[in-house]
Amino acid sequence: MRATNNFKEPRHQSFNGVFLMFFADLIKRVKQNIYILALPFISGTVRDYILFFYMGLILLVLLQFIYTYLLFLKYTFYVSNTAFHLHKGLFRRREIEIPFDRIQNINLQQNFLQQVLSVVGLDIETAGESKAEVQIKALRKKDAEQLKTILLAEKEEKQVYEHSVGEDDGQDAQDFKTVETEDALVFKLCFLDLLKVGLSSNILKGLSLVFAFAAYVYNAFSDLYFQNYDAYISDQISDYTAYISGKFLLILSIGLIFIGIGFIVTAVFTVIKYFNLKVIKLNENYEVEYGLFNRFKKVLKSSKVQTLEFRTNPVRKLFGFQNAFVSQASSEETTEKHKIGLVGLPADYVSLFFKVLFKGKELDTQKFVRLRCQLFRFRVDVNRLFFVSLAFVLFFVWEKFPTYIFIILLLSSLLLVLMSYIRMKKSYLSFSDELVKIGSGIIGTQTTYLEIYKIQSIRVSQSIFQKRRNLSSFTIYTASGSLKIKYLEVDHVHELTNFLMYKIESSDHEWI
Amino acid sequence: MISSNKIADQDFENVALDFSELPDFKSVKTQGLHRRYLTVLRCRLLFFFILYLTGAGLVFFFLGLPIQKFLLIFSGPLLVFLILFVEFEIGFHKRQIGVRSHDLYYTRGFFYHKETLVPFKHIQHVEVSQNVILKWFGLYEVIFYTAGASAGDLNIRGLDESTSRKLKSIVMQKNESDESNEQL
Repeated sequence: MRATNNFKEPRHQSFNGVFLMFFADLIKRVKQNIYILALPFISGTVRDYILFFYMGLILLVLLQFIYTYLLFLKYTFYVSNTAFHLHKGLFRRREIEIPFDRIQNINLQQNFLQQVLSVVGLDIETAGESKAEVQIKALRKKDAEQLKTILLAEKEEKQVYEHSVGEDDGQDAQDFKTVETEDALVFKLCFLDLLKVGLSSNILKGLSLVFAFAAYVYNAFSDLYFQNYDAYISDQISDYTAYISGKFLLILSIGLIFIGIGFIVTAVFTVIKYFNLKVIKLNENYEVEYGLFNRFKKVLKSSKVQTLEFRTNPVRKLFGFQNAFVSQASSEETTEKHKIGLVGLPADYVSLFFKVLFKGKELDTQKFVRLRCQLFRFRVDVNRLFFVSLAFVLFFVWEKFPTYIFIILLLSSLLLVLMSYIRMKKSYLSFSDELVKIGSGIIGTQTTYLEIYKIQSIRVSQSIFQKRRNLSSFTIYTASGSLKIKYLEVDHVHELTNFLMYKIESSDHEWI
Repeated sequence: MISSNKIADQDFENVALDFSELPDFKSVKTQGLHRRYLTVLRCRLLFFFILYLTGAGLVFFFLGLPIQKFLLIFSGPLLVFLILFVEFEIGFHKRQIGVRSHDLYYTRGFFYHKETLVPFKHIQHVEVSQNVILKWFGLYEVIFYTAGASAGDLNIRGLDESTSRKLKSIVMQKNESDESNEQL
């Protein structure tokens, strides 16, 4: 330990921090309640009592200041031998303790307000969720730098030991240090292949965009259009049945046009998104970049990779490629947007990336044991659908319903039943000695792989309906989100949990 | 259904590891939450129930809805209250914590039973906190943060002070000793 450190005792932030937080909160409040400030201009009654109005405002600001000051008093932190401690909160006290080796990163920063008040913000990033990350907003610059060096020194001390034991993590620490770069292009998607990717992508995305646009246009022009159309139709066809079939044709053709436009929109969007996809090898890591207008650039780090997902569908199979999506550890739930897309991968690249991202594991040599989703899921779906349809029919039974509505309802129900059956058939969980593999999909097929030792926690859940059938659901939490498999056999889930926990706990890999 | 069971069973046997010899998570010794927390849950439910009754009564008297329509609209929340009541009364004793040598086990729920397992070495940090209501009853909430989004965190509410401190220190100690083992 250093002799100079003065963080052993609990201490507050720099006093200027009160003003910093006060101003920051004030700006936020004003932004939230801007309409209240506009009241005197709008309402006459408010203008009559303008004095009270302003006094109220001043009182609120005062209260805000007192609150901020109390918060400041209650916000203390110190460094113990093993961890960084933070106590905060007025009504809801929080004691946060971060062991040194869990600290991922420490950032110092200064925004405009902080510059004016000559304080520095210090963020401690852990791999945990963003909410729990420590953000000390106001420290004197000297203090902040000192705290940073102390924390980093403690962290290093911890890690030196670990590195003498675990070899795989050695590369992690060297990532920052190695300077020489050996760039090598690993994969590049040419325009023709990109076009194929666009043509084979999920049309629903584009379709929803088109629908949203159409709904907007419809709202804007509906009155005008439908009056004219009805008048036109009744002029042309006086016969009732012909009127109905005319309307049916109209719906059909609108549907077809929608699908056509949706198809084109999806393809165009996909092409723009993944334009000039390139994967470059940088030392131990891989850099992925794509995009026409917005260039997306991310570093793929095998230690940070949580799940690798392969998506294929009949069209992609025909073209002979798959799309891969990688989720990396992050402080928020990884949504589709955050996933790194490696689209248009031919079979040999699929196994290549698998090997690269999972530290040399071969896809073909893994021996998987498969647990299947049980038929009960399908029955649950069908029952739900039955009740929804029944409610729909009962609810509208008083309306005079044309037959074609019922035909459409029946057909779409049949389609949904079929889709539910396929979904049940395609849903499974497999595991090998090192990996878990999860399958899902309806028209397309998704296969997600993850390494067992990177699993953060496990949940087994069971509703009372599932209990009677001896079924349960299984959720795996990783540092990038969760994966859930529904309706597995209870005994299998039980044994699987024991197996996975044993594997996680006996593994000597660090999870990141 | 039967045929797919059989296939899965056969497959299961193929693994080199003997599953029956693995430590079984169901056999862990567990401990319930503090009884005062049941009171907290009951009070909260009662509070909202009274709030709901007052609201419903006001609507009934001032809007003058026909009785059938009124019952139809207001029976939904009533059902929710009933479910919550049963969940608290029967389900409270299903809220159990267990500490194994390498992980933490927490189970809860009557209608929807959940069992969560968090290995100690994946716990990033531990938070012991209290909101106003818990403070009145002298109870604590312990949150075990894992890496990544909040979904995987383990949140245990309704522990007394000594248990919550103990849980926290167990986890911190385990992580410490794990590292010292690695150092050797």
